[in-house]
Amino acid sequence: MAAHNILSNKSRYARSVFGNVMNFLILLIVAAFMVIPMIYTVSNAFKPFNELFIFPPKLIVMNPTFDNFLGINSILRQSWIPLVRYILNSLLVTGIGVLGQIILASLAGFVLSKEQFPGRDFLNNIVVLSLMFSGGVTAIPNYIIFAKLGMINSHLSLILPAFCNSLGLFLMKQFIDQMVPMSLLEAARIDGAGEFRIYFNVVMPLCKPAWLTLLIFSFQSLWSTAGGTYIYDEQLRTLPSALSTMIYGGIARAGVSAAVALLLVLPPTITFILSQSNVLQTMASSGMKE
Amino acid sequence: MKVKVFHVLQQIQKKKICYLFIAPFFILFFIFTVLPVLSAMGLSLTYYNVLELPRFIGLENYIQMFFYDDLFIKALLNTLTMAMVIGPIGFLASFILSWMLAELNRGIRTTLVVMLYAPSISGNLFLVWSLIFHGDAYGYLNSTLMNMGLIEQPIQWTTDTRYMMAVVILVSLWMSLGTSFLSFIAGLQGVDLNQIEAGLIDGVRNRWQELWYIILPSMKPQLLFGSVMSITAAFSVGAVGAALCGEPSVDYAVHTIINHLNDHGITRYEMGYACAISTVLFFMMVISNKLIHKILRKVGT
Amino acid sequence: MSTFTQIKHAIDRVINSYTNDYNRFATSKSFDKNISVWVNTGRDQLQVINQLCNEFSAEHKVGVNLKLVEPGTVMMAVIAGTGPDVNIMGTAGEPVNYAVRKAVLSLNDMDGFDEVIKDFHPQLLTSLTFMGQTYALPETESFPVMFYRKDIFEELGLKVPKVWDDVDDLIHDLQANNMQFGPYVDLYSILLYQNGGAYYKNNGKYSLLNSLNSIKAFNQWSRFFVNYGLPLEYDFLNRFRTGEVPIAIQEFGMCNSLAVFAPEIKNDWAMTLVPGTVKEDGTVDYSINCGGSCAYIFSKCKDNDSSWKFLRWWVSGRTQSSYATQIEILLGEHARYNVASISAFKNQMWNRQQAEILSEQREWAKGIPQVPGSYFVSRHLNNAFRKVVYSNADVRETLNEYTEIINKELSNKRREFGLGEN
Repeated sequence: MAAHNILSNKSRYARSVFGNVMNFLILLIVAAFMVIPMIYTVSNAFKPFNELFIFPPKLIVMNPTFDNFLGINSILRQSWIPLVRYILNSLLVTGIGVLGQIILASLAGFVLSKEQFPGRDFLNNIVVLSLMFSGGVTAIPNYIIFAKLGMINSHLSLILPAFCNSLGLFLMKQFIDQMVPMSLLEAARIDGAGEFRIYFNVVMPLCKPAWLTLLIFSFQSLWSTAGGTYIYDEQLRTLPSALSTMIYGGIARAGVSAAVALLLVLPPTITFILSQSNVLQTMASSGMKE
Repeated sequence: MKVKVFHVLQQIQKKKICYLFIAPFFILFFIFTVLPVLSAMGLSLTYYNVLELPRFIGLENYIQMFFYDDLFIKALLNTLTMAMVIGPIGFLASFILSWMLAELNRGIRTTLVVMLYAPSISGNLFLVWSLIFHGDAYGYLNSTLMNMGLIEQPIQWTTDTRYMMAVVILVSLWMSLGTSFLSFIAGLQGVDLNQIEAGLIDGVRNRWQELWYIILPSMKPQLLFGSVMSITAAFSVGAVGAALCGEPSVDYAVHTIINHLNDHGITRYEMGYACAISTVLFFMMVISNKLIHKILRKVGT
Repeated sequence: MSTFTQIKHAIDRVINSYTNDYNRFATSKSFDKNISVWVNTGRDQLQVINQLCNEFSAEHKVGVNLKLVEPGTVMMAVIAGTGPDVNIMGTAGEPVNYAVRKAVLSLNDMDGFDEVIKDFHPQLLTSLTFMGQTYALPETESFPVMFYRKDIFEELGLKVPKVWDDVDDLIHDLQANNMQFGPYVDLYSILLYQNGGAYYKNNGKYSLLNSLNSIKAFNQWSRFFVNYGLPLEYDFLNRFRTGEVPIAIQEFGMCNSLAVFAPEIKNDWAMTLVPGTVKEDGTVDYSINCGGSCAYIFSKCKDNDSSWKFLRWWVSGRTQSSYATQIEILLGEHARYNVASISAFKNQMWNRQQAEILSEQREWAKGIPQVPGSYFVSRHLNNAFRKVVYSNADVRETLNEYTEIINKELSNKRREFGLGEN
């Protein structure tokens, strides 16, 4: 896109070298500070037991060891549910959840964006409003609804709410708003295509960056969902949930907890790094028109 | 009137397929998002101690809140103070950071974006800050200040009411460099090259003018989105205070509406009252959002 | 085993995880009676408890459905009706709070109750009892003792203080050597009880925060920080090890952590009684506050008898001893589980000197009652403390101010539960 050029087009007018250097330095300092927690997490995971309790804590580990990770391994080996089962659970929840979210959000986003029908504005407003109600008090009604629907202790408690994630809808709708021209749709309709055909063959391919972004965000979020509040059966637990139960073992398991913390943080971080450019392109269209 | 209704029904009939498309999403959305919110609002009209069935008491919770609850007023003031500092400054800081990043070339920019945003994913920022502000004489800030001879006794940053607000605001500002910042970066990338060139011809002379007259207006949609997120975040402030200073904080010095809500709902088992607070908070957010949108419409003119 | 067999074995385990019915942990027999038990603890602990539950099922012919949950889940589940029959390893604040909302069973009339509680120090039941009814049984105990560095004291020729007056002198000597006396986080309770004070009057009707005993205790407590400059926050493990804080009052459980964290000073420290207060008749009062985790039964449980059978079995000396031993073998000394059961305590691997001190200090334990509105007391006690220490406020005035606030809340809560207002 031509847009990329403006940012690297330095010949517009004199941008002082000093200005550029200062720019870079300030950003570097800020960024360095922001990374400290990450370094700390990584460091902690490799600390031997006696280093974990030094106060004030040292940022870099002095005698790194893999013991904590071996500890995770030994705990899991004793568990009556194999590790693979936890991973399968997570994959199931994440796979279905992500797929469903993309389909539902794009179906609804497409129609909300390009069609006129009674109730459209109302629905649009509800979605925006829903972003504003704070979560604390809805926990109990949520739980009761899940219970009444028989979703407690079932993977549905993680999958179904993911299907109706409003942030996903928002992203899809905004992207379609800006990137799919009405003219294209009209041309397809003149050619006699039904709504589903249009959706599948015209809109979705155009929206690739959007649903790729959605894929990444929802993957990140679903994969790290522990769901410990709704799922108690051991064989149904997701990986983060199973790993985090090790943290409750008290100070005896402090080392393992640190290793677990690192493992839980890795997938979202890696996915973000790998997917950066797509995310940015979608976010470019995430503004609100009014 | 009848003609209008008929007209609407006719429209619905014509656009039947639209409803089919939105149905899966909105049915689930209604059950899992709208229904709990409505229940919470409904519970706000009851006495509900969580373990027994709710009992209808009408507007008593609201009357209690507005006329008798001093703590609510204090929480409100705290929240507004924090929101007014964190909201605009956080918003501005996010924007400036993204503007600064836009000036760099691709490779460095990508690395820096990752470094800046990644910690929000790991969510571990509290730990570092609580170590910095630890009341122990060996806490990072305390030991530095003592070594420099500026103080003799360690300062209790998180339990001394004189410092708590400043600490919480500082940490919250830091942590707010989250999603809006990404949106801004993307928006900056989307600024039309032609407009920039036109600006050059028209006599734009430095980067500041470029910012106000060209870049900002073309980013209006992103600014609006960022503002929604910022306002929501600003009103929802409370987690930072709770993590650093405890919930409730000493003498409620950094007690926000969210803290107040949690206190009543979880500690005191007064869920009906907590729902009422939640509902009031919700309406405050809606109103401020409308206000901010009006203001932002004027940007760049 | 060849790699192929190993892989096959692993695949089998995964497939089994889909076909096994894990709700029946015991043998293939299913039981007529079943109870569900929830616990919030770590994985390792869960495995041990699981084994023990299997033994219980075999012995008493009651199936046990054990589940690991996160904190806070229990309450929501109870609301939605999907809650457990029994909750173990709960915190002391829960039973009474749930009981006034009629969610937990009273245990006084249960079969063999009087026998069961004989195995615990009566004061451990204080925070689990309200208006004469006991709603939970203790599992673990915790109370403070004093730790000191024998080597440092010997080197400097210092005497270990027996009463609070001695402590004042000691602090002078320590500070002259750039060391500190390590205070206990809840020194107020210790001083209050040693002065014969109490937290509440009339079963939680009024707060005694501004009573004379309380003012005395509070004064003594704040004096340490305002006048003597004791550290408000300090990391005991690190500082004790370096010798910067060679004497401190801490939960006795800290000794387990010390054993692992600072093994090099293993022979250089000892435990002793907390400094006492000299009473009018010349004897010394070594009272301290105590606490611990507990187990209780929900009112919505389907089978009262079986649930009680389980609870009784779980807190019994035999079971707790078995659990504690296995945990210690599994996780090591620093994970030592501090049992409340006196008979189980005798089986634990404390060295003789430690066991003696602990038994003696326990004699002086005083539980803190839980009443509706209790949360306000700890909160405002803390507020009062900070005000006095940071801004040099007047003790009496500050305590009066906060007591009024507390009493109002206590009154509100009593009205809420129909207990008769003030």
